[in-house]
Amino acid sequence: MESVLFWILSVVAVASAVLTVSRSNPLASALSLTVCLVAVAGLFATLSAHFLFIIQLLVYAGAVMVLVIYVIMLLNLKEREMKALGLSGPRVFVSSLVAVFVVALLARAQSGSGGFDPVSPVLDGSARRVAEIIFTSYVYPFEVVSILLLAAVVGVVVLGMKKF
Amino acid sequence: MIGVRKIGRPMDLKERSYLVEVARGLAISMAHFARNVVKQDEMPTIQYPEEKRVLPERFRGRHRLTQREDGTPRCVACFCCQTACPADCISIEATEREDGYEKVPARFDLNILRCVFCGLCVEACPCDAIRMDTGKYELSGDDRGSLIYDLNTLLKD
Amino acid sequence: MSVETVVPFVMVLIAALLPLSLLPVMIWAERKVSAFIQDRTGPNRAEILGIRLGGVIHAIADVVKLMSKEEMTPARVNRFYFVLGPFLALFVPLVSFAIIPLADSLNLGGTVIPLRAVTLNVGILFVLAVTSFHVYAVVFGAWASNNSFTLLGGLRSAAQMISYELGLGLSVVGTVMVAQSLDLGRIVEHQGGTLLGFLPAWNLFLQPLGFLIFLVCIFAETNRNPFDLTEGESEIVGYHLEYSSMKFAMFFMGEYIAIIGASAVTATLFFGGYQVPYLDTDFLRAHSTGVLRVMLVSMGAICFVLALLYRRYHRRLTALYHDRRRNEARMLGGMMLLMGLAAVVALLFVSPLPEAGGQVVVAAVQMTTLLVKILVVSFFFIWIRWTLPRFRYDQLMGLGWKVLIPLALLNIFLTGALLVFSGRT
Repeated sequence: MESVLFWILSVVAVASAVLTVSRSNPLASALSLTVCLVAVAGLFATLSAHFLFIIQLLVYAGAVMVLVIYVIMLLNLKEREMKALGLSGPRVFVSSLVAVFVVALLARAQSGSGGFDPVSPVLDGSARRVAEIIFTSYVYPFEVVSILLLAAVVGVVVLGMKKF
Repeated sequence: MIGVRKIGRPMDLKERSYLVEVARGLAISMAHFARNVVKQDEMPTIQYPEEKRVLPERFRGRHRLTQREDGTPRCVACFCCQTACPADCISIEATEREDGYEKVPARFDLNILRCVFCGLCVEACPCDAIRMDTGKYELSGDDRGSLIYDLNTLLKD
Repeated sequence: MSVETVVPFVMVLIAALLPLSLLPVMIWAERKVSAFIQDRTGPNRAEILGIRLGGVIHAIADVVKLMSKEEMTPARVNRFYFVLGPFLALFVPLVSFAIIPLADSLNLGGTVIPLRAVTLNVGILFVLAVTSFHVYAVVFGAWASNNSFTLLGGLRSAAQMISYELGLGLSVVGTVMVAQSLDLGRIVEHQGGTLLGFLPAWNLFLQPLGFLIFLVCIFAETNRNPFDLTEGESEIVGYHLEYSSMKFAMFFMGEYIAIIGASAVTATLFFGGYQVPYLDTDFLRAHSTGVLRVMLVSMGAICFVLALLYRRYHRRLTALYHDRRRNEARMLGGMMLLMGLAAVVALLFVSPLPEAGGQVVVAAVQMTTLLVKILVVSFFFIWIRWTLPRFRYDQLMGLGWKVLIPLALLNIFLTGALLVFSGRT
């Protein structure tokens, strides 16, 4: 059951990822990216990483992508400008190269860790476990990220003010 | 350039929290709701097709043409009502009576779709031949033709 | 097929069908309650063979009307996105119902069967995630209509929904801190028992400030009245201007499903979910036969009272109108009488229940409790709508960002301080 889900979700994720880069209409790209993010969230859920699953939906699919789609809609691109954004020879070439490199990298990393198992369950993906890890082992990076975010928030407020 | 004058409406904390006023509003609407649920019979709504409003005595309803004792129309086709009508809804064709004594209407068409119920035709009539005292207000029909009343229809009431 | 495999399917079915079957009830209630608040009688004319059900039949008439209306698609519109909007508007709110625990888990000889469609240990975040997806419906509906007014309307709505999501998320944190879990099942379990001996231990009393903020934010999230600038049919143009016929109906139905879902979440988080006040699950299970008796007695009593009311109604109809409507009073009155008699007969044959049967009875009682709570909260939604005027857009944003979010942060701080000082952590 879970491996069937895994395959469905992976196919959806990969297909929508390809659509994201191949569509010339930016809105279609953004929508494909949303679908891709949701599919990846589903993969987290099959690994019983429930917290990660929800956060992926909440933050990426629910908030970030809405913003992206919004900006695309407000840009009001014309058909002609959209065409220019589509795939072209050099772009396909470079992105294929990168893709091959990444796949090779992943295959190499996999061969070290003994076999390919699509549904190896994570130990415990609950919020409590995630919190424990973040606030013990990774407390230093966590605080750095918080300061970065705080700086970003202050920056937004400053930029949002009518006069500096 | 249009100037904008800002009118300060200072609100204290009680008003700014909205809560007190919201609670009062809710109490009012709940009072209405509860009263109408418990006492449905006392609701002011008239259940129209079954219950009908009692009309005031001088209610100006649809027109009728009055008759003489012998059943002929009182109308002498003088065109006063047609002339007086601001909506141009009456059209009369006159003809002579058989005894040649006076005029009578051959046709008397009243287009109720155009009528504005002003009552000027009633006031204009020298013979008290047209009145608006039928009290009929359910004027509807399936096609426009049925809403142009002719002489016989108007005489019947 | 064992019980463990059947129950989840049944639960998914209930989670999908309950909001859909409450939908006509909600639409009817909206119209009838608004009428009564404004001293009108409301819809009472549509009938099938004289049966009017006080206006419920109007829901069917509405559906027929909306389906037979002309379906307009504006020129130069991408049909895919144009259809995607109403589709999301209808189906996204349906999902949030899956996470609500409908009753305490069954415990059959060691195997625990949770009575909800989806069991996630981060249930409450799932609710928030689903509400955040609702923005897509608005955004796509607004943009795909190829109309500047709808785009502006959609911009307004999306900004509103995203802003109030923050307040919503923060207001829930207090509840999570009290229950020490993100799991809705745990949150509901925590609300069993009593507080200070006489109050049910609902989060409503433990988290009054959180409740208030949550309520305001959920109104804004579902675009209900003091915050229904999304539609604003009388002053400003909303995002679904270009939709007609069934597509408009989908937005319309989605709104009501969102209200039912929001009511369910509110009831679960703050009104003790399926918990019967003062009677926790263990007590109910220990006295399941008695519970069944009480249920049958109350059902019989309700049926008899309704039968009496229908008798009175029948007399009144006979005196006043004397038409086909009397059949309805006669038929429904008869049905109520029969159901009451059935309850009485069943009461005579009640024998002590086996363990499993008792648990099922208790589950039924708890589901009924939850349903009653959902309906009460939904009524509150309608009640508010016909009481308050609409907010202006700057007032709306000011309230969300400058009042509710700081208050929610204060609530988190206060809850944390109280938990630390009472030594509950």
